[in-house]
Amino acid sequence: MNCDESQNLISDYLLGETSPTQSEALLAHINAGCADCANMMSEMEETLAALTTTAVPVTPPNHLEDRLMARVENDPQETRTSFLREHDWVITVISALAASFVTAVVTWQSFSATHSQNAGEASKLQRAVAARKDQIGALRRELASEVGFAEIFRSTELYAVTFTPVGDDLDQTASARAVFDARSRRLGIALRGLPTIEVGRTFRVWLTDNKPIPLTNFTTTAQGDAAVVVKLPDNVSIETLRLAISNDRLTSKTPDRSLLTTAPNNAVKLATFEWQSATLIASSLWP
Amino acid sequence: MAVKPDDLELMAAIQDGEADALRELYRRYKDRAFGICVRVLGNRHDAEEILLDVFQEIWSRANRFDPNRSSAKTYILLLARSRSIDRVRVRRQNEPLTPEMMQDMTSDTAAAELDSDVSHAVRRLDSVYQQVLQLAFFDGYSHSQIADKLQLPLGTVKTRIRTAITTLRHKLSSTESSGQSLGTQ
Repeated sequence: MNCDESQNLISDYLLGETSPTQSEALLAHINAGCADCANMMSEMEETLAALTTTAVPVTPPNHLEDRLMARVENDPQETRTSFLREHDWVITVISALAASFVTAVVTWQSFSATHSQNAGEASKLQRAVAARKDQIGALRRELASEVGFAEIFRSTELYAVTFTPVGDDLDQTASARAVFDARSRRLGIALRGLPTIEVGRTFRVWLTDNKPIPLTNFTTTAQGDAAVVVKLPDNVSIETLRLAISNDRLTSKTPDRSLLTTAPNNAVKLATFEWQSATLIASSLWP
Repeated sequence: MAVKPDDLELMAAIQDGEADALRELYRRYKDRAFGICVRVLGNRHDAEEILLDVFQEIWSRANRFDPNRSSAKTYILLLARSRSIDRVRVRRQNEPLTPEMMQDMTSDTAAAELDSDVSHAVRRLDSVYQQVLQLAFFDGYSHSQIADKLQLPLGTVKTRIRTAITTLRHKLSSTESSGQSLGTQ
């Protein structure tokens, strides 16, 4: 998108008239560092905000404040996923680490033990690593700030958890995998292919062992991907853990439209050597 | 005397999960935000629900606020307008207006416009620009609905809206540079 196209779209965007594709292209153009378009966006937004001040202020009833505070008391806040918006391949790495430790270990051990016999394979791996290195370097600091995932990846007592889609909807494309660190009790969930969400709704992670308890709300990238970290309550056992990912109204008290769930006894503990070997691979990716 | 936190400090505290910060922000902007909801929706009942939704969203989606892009005030007021418009559009599709709502919509409160510098600047716009701004910004009509309503090509409607906003911006800037305040009551 060039500046003319961008500037023609800004007012449409601010009035909610652009398609998701147009919005994404416009924001990509501005986030790429176009100062002129960023300035125009900011000025137009401030102008529209000024327009709202033509409305006469009206004092709402006093009881609304109490209703608001009661509403937010048990309303979990959305997890930050902004670092993923332009780098959805990170989810692939996380997901692969969570789900394919054994494969990774075998690959790594095979590579280490027999790399002289597999020079072609090693060379291919090196090229793949080099190709990702610049991207990974730029993301490293950002990822390091994601304390939740960092703690999980440092764990030596790790479980892998798999989600299964709800229902038999053939259009269902959502999938998720999770890793759980038994020491910090943090659960990292990597999600892909979630559907577009309507205004007034949110994606939410629920604990469904007994009475449903909301753990966190979250957003997705334009591609429907997300990475979420939640801390499980102390009284929850990983062996009997039941979770649901749902598309809810903001005010919903139970899972509204469940998309993915976990079954009890689904968690698989990863042997320390497997995880440490996988960490070695991760270390080679994040030098 | 304790110094009151500014809006950005409140938004940061909300992002950290401090509910008291939300209460303070609500007290700071409830009248303006509710005024927008009433202006767009035309009745207090719907406006109360939307006001709650707006501040609940500020809480639950606190991570979406980007201080580099806009001020907290701009974010809150435009969110109030946007969520009100969403409700208007749903209502147009689903709910016939009740006599009570019709009465509310014709009340002075719903139709009133503040006598401010911004209002003056809007009134100095050519009438065709005032018309598209009203339809798109406060009445919640999509650009294609406006094109149908005014019997104009869609491109003309988009151009008029863009021109209306940029012209208004220039008028507000010139008012600002001549030392008058903007967007204040």
